[in-house]
Amino acid sequence: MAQALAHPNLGLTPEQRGIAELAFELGQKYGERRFDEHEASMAQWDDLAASGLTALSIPEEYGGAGGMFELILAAERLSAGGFPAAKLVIATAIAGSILARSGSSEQKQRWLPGVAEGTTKFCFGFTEPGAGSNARNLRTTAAKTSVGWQIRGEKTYISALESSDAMLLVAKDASSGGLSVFAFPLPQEGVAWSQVNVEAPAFEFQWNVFFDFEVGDDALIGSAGAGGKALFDGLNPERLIVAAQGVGIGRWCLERARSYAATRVVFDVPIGAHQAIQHPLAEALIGVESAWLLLACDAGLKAADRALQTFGGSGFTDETMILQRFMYMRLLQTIPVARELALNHIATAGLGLPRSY
Amino acid sequence: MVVARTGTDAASNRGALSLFLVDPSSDGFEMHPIPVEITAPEKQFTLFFDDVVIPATELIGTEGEGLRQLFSGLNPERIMAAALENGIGLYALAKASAYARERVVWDVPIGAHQGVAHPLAKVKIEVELARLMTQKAAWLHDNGQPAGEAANMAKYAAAEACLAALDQAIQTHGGNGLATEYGLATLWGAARLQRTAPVSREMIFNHIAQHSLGLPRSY
Repeated sequence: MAQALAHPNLGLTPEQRGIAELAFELGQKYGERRFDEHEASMAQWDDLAASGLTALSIPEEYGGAGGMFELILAAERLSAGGFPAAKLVIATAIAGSILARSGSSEQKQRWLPGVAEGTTKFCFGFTEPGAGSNARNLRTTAAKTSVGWQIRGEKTYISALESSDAMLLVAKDASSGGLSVFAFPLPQEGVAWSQVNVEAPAFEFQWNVFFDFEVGDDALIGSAGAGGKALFDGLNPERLIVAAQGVGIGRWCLERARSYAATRVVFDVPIGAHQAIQHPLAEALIGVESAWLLLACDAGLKAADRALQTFGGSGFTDETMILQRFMYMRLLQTIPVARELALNHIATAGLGLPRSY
Repeated sequence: MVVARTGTDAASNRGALSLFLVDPSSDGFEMHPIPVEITAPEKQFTLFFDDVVIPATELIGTEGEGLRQLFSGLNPERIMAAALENGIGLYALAKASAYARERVVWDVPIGAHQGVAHPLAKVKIEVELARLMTQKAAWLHDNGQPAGEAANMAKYAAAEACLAALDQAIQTHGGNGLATEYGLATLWGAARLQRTAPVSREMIFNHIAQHSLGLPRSY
């Protein structure tokens, strides 16, 4: 395996190495497909389910295997192979973590086996037009009824509604003003949607979703108005999986750039013989290999940009697929959380500086 | 207009180039689209010339002098590309500033935060500097003075400033920055292309290193 693509594989158990190799192959299998080709994503998901990778991080008693480390490892290797498995972010990491940590035993029994098998694909209803970075500004409300909860409101930028079997929804509890988290199947009467057109290649469609419907009490996860902790049980793993994607895509881009720079001859030598080409690639490699979390997405973006520059004009054609990867990495500077919000957190929690907002 | 090799230059042993006007409806001429991942008003093509016969009157200027003749178009090309990029930079800044003034999160406009305002201020400076260099290059060209250095510098500076301004505008808009509706990310591919085409930043660096700094040719 080319050096730029190799995972450090330091201290991995034989099982973890097996997961790494399997995930890498499933990334390679779809590596020539467009990121926005949904058939490819769905076919890869079927492969992941058949190979057991969708079960990673789900508790064993519900058909799961391994922990969050194994899921992150798989996410990085799939991306390094050439095709990230987007559904691991929400359908596995977010839904699995929230249900496993905060669900009742009935809810866990109802949902987690399907999540582990990959047959129940959750989407996540959280973001609103007025609640992006400031999540607490939610306007979607959940009001108590005789049989459960009446949910009313509007969400935006909801991914994968078109291919999901269930939704995890975050609403404001009407009486306390705190957050409530619900899990319910799709399609659902009283839920309507329209598409958000996005200029970056995304694995899934994006939707505005409008809610005015009632769910039973069994849909509420944990206590009404006390969903904040449950929510972050899902959001922290989400950041980690996305960071792993960033590192993996960075490695893929670097390997492509390395190979092109070694073979493309201009003015009688391979372009990689020139420092203006090889030094930025070397710096990008250092960045990717030492990346942590926030910096993983920065490092991945830098690697993708240098790969794009290495390919010259051909990097912009659909034949090389480089711009696709670059655009996706650019998307990760803004979603799932803006870089600036992450820096705010590091400044306050990491450096003890005063909150700036 | 087609650049074609018509012989070998005896002194340099390199190709001698000539410029021709070719009618695209000529026999033997074919054009195949190249699918490109960017949104742009003009498409890209691979051209095939299979013994295309054109009249001698379609030779532009002197046979074998094509490269020298081309140079008279290269500086205007750099200057025009820089102007286009500066326009995108100004457009991006206008949109970003308007949004940062109006979008209220946590009770203040997001533009009140230095994490939003300072990066926009930085790219504003960069765009204005690029505009100055572009104007200088255009003035030198119009006044018959050597414009190569200024044109190359303008092209480089404008491309970098344009991309930085557009990127920061997208970042200012949060998730909306990627939505088609906001008219920003659509420009991304075309802006990013400017680092590579019509001349890459690395070739510009080579030119400046050799011609402005007198350093040895590196390639």
